[in-house]
Amino acid sequence: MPCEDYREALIEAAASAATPSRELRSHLDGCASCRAAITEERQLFAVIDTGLRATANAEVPHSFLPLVRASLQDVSASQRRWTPFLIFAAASAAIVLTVFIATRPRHARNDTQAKQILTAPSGERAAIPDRVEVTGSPAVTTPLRLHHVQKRKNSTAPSSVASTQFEVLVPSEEREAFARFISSQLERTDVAIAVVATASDEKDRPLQVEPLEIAELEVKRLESVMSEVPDGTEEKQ
Amino acid sequence: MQELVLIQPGRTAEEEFAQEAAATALRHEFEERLAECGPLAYRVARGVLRNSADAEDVAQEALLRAYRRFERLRDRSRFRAWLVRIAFRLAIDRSRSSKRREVRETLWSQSAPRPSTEDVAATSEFQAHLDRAMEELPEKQRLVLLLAAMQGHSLEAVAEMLGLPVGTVKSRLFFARKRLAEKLRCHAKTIEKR
Repeated sequence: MPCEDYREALIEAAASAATPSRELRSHLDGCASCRAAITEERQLFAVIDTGLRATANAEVPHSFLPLVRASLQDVSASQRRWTPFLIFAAASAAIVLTVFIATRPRHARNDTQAKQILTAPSGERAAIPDRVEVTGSPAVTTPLRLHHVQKRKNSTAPSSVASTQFEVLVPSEEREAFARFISSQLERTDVAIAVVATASDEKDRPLQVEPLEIAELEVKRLESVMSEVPDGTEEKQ
Repeated sequence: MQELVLIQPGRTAEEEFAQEAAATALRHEFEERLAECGPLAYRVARGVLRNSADAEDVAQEALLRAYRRFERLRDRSRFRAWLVRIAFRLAIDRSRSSKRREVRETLWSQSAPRPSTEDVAATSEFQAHLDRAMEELPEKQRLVLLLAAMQGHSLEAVAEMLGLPVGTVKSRLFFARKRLAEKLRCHAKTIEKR
């Protein structure tokens, strides 16, 4: 057994294959067990190095390089064969992409359409199919972007707070004042655009609720109920 | 045998021939390096996979991959290091996938590829332990250990090949050998006792 204080130093000296430090050398001169230990360690590293060299210097099969050369020839031939087709495919893809981008519908056109609809006379406004109405309250909803409204109507996704679509709910008594405000804004600038529409009469009608029908209650005596308990505690009494 | 060349419409024949000549020159340049670096790629793959057939496959794949990208390699003096990395990476990937396959196919072990006689000869009991211990080393240490064990590779050559300082190579080698020794100490003793 090597001395415990020098154990690590012995392993490190053997692993680095360097000459041991002066201190270790002087210890080795006087300690036979440590000398034996370092010899053993060096032998172990020699065996490891032999194994590593056997692994790392394996003989290359004779067929290896000719096979690689043949594969290289195949690769360069196939590259040459495919290059024109690849160029053709890339050019076709570029043309398709260009056509797609050129014919793509634009949002700007939708906004213009929306403005045209919103600034139309009041008689025509009533016929706007994309108008959104809030049910259950005599209020008016103002869609600013019809494109988004239609999209949301068909969507099952919950409405986002960050949506660009915003709506204005106006109580019935303030409807006329709001209409005047909107018309003044439309004359001045196109910052605020709104549609004023009267909610349908059906929505103003009070909600009718059918009277509840409750079956007659059967009143039992408490004692008789207690005696029906399955654990039989009452029966014992 | 006469080789036919497809001429693209809209391009002159001179352009075609110039391109052809450039491709041929590139292939010649690569083939010159192949004689020197092909065995290196094979040995790196063999060191990781410990199977001649798999190593041959992987080294071939590494060389073909290097050839396809050879044109894009700006510093051609870094070719060896580049190839070593490709081969090492591919071998590690193959080793991992074959391990996964082994786990899946333990019941079908009869159909597993048999090692060649060369592999059998190289695999003594201690060698098997050594291979297993090497597999557990970190990849960086493993590559340094393999390259340093190859004939004619000094530490400086390994450092240059991997683009590392010599000190880093030395320390990786030191820790790798130390770790191997820790794992193999008991096996070496039991083999010696017999």
